[in-house]
Amino acid sequence: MEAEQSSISVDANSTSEYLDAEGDPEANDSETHFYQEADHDEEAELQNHSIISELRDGLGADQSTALSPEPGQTKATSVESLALSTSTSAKTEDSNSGQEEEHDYQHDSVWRGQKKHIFILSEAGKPIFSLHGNEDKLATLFGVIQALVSFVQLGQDAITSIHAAGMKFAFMQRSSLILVAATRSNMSVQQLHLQLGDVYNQILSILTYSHMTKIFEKRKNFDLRRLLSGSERLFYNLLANDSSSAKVSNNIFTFLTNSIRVFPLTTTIRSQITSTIQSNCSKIKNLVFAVLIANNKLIALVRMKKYSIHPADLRLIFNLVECSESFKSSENWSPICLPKFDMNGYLHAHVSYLADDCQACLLLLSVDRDAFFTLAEAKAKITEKLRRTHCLEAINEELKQPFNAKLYQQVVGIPELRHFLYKPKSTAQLLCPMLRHPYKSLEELACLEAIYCDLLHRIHNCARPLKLIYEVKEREVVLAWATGTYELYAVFEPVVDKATVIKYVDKLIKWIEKEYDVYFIRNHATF
Amino acid sequence: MAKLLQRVEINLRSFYIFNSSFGEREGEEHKKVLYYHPNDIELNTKIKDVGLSEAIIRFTGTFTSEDDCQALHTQKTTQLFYQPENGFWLMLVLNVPKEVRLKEGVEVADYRGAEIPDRIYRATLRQCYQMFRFLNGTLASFGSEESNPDKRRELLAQQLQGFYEKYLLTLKDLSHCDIIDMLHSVQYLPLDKSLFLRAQNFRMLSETFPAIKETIMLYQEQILCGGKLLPEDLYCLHSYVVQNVLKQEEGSSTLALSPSLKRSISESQVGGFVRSQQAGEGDGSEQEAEESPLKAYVTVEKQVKTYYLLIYRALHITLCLFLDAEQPPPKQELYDELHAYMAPQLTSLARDIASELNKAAVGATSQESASNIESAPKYLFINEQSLQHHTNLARHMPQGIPRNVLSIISDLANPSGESEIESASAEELQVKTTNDYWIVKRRCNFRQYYVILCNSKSTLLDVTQEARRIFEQELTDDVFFDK
Repeated sequence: MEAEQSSISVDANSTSEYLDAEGDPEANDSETHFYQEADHDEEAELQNHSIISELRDGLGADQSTALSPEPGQTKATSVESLALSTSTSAKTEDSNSGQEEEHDYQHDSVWRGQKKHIFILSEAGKPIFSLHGNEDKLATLFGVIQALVSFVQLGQDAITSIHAAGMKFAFMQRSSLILVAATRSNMSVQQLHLQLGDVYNQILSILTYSHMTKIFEKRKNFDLRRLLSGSERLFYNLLANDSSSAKVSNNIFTFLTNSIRVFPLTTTIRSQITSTIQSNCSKIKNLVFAVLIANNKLIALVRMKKYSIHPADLRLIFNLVECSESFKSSENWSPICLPKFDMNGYLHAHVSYLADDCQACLLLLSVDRDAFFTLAEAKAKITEKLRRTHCLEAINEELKQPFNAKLYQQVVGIPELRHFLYKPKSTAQLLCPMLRHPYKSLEELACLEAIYCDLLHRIHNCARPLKLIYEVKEREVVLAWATGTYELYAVFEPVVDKATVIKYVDKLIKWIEKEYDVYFIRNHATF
Repeated sequence: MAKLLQRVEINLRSFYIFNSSFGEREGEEHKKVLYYHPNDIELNTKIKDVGLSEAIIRFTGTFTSEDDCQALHTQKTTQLFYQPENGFWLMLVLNVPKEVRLKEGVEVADYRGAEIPDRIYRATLRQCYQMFRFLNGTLASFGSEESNPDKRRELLAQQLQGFYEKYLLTLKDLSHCDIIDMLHSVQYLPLDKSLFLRAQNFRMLSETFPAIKETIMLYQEQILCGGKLLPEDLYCLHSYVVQNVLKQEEGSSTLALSPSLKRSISESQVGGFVRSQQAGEGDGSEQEAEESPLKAYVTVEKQVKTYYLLIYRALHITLCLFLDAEQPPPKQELYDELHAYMAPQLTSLARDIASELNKAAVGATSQESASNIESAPKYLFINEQSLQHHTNLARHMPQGIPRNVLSIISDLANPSGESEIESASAEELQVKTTNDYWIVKRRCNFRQYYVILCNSKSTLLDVTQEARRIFEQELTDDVFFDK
């Protein structure tokens, strides 16, 4: 199917998918309208700090409504785009537990022995989310958590963490929500708080801060699950970024370093892509960001002059793209809130893959909710131009045969280097090689993750930070180095001696600096 | 930016001991609390604190074993848990360091909980228990002659009250605790061979006096021979002696009249036995000759055994004798006999050691100049199994190593009691801090070695060289590190 579609076929397409999805097509229950247009406008005006409302004001009275889909159907589209669960694999533990009635988690050793648990509940103790197990059945546990938290609160204090026999529990309270992480892994409490922050941001991204606080102000024991139903896959994917899930992937490293990875492309291709986007979008008045992603890496980002996008927000966007299969087959128009950019309002994203034969996903984020057709047009033109200038081919080539697969041993000539993370101080971007032997199995990945968690925790420890760590262990040699311009974390074979390591590191740094523009974007272009 | 107005260091908020099995019935919750410091807090608050601790313990039990809950961190406090015996929990609650800054005209308090190295204070907590156990036996077995459980609880509570009231006063200032406090190791005094052998000879006392089961000798605050005591007990004995004997004598000006000492101590040319002051009484008159000497509870082959602890002093030497407590308490004749037997040799040994040390000190000071001391590399060697340490860290000097360096070392250290499976058997580590201190750590064979260097221009290789030099130079004393 061509990426270019007329407005009618878009609707038809979306409606049919909508009917395929589970649940009632027409949810008339007034409380489940989490996208209430009228309210939303009022709220946006009330918030003095809403960046989105500032941008909107700049829009003026020029609101073209003629070509947009009907408001009612927009709603349908938006509800559906977030509610699509392409797979309910997220709930496998639930279905495995057999009978639904009284599953006693206290005695379920599988549940107890899980490496990581995440719990979200409201301040009133109402369960909202549990990574493992059905949160309904954990009501007593949530009650206990809520009691502990409120008891300590009575003393003008707040629980931050608990340490016990090999486990760490991190607690976080944000605007009427209590978030708890329980882990057996090496993650420090700081890192767990970062993870909980990500989860909280994900909730904000679906609901916006102002909407959520308003709900809880009105009804303290509102069941937030009603508003979040259908988006569980976003949480599961977000939390599946470390070895506690059964995936071997690089996502953990970007999370730990609070950065993103960049798609390696030569400077010419990348600047070609950027200028294509710029030229086709510069006339669109309310377009704030244009993000092009492939394989969980950033190809290009173009932004409005005054505004920049925080890596945490980018992670949410990556997460959304990674777990939404539906984006591949059609254009989508969905609201998304970027909490670090503006937690009180929605941006509207036109999301689509460039072409059937090119798995790069383009997101155009605008403050104007009626801009669907303008953006669709722009996207079509962009794809056209990129195809003509062979950029699509370049992207595809890189996707098929990643540039850095065998890179590090052949080109750079450091065979004993097993893995490394390189992050320049000036940008929140990360360079790391593909995982290869011995880190291809889950256990080894868990070891590697433990090493990095430990190193990062010690270097960035808020009370006692360090500049350099060089550790010789039985199974590897690790080096962590934080200089003024970059941070480097590297793991070597255990038999290398110190002088050789230093030589290798020098070599690596020189090589990275030479190839800097392939792997990093120094400055994001602006419209 | 934000101006620092005030900084409050870490301090003790409360310390309490509870056992949930004592107050399981409605209306009897106050019985759970066996001891609580500060005592003047309302009973309800005490019960609530204990309740919170119990709730946290149970909560962790949902996911993992209930028996090893370690710490609860809140924004303003750090609460440390320790369960030495089944059902008995000790809690140490600390206020985290607080900095009050002036931000835009408003005073904002910044709680720096992350600065607290948990391990150090857990070790302090553990030591609180160990000292009690050393002098009174285990909590569970206290008052076992009393059959009524309520009465037993009463007795235990009273004893805890009496003991901890004094002990908590002697706790070292919490903001200055460091790794050596954490590991509870003692520093041995290195002696040359002949003196060492003479000191060891006193262990032969048990041949002549079969009632004596164990002898430990100290010179001033350092151990000369440690006997077969387990390291934890040795540490308890060491701190007991330092606190109750050596510090006492420093405090008392008129020695003969002090009720806690029967004889004058280091100044006198004749050694003598020290009678310890039992809880709260005594006028030190001759009639006390029949009173039972201090009892110490020591673990021998995994069982707790009771010994009578006799302390004898001659000049700067303190000799601790352990007598089997199964026997009736020793009589005055035994004291006199021992005194007659040991006094001359012990006194001459003490004199010889003193002159030996004087010679060494004179030799050393001529080499070092004051200006070198700060930049000279500092080292610390710890033998984990025997808990001995050897160092040139000046721990009591305020201008010594900066706090963050000491805290980092305690982060790096492998605490005693860590299971062998978890800790690597051999490793080497170099670390550079943000204030340009280098710390080199080597660990192998249950010995940890740390070298601390301060030089902003050194590279990794320079530091390794320097550390190696120090290892080789200072490690010659290894013979004293083996038990």
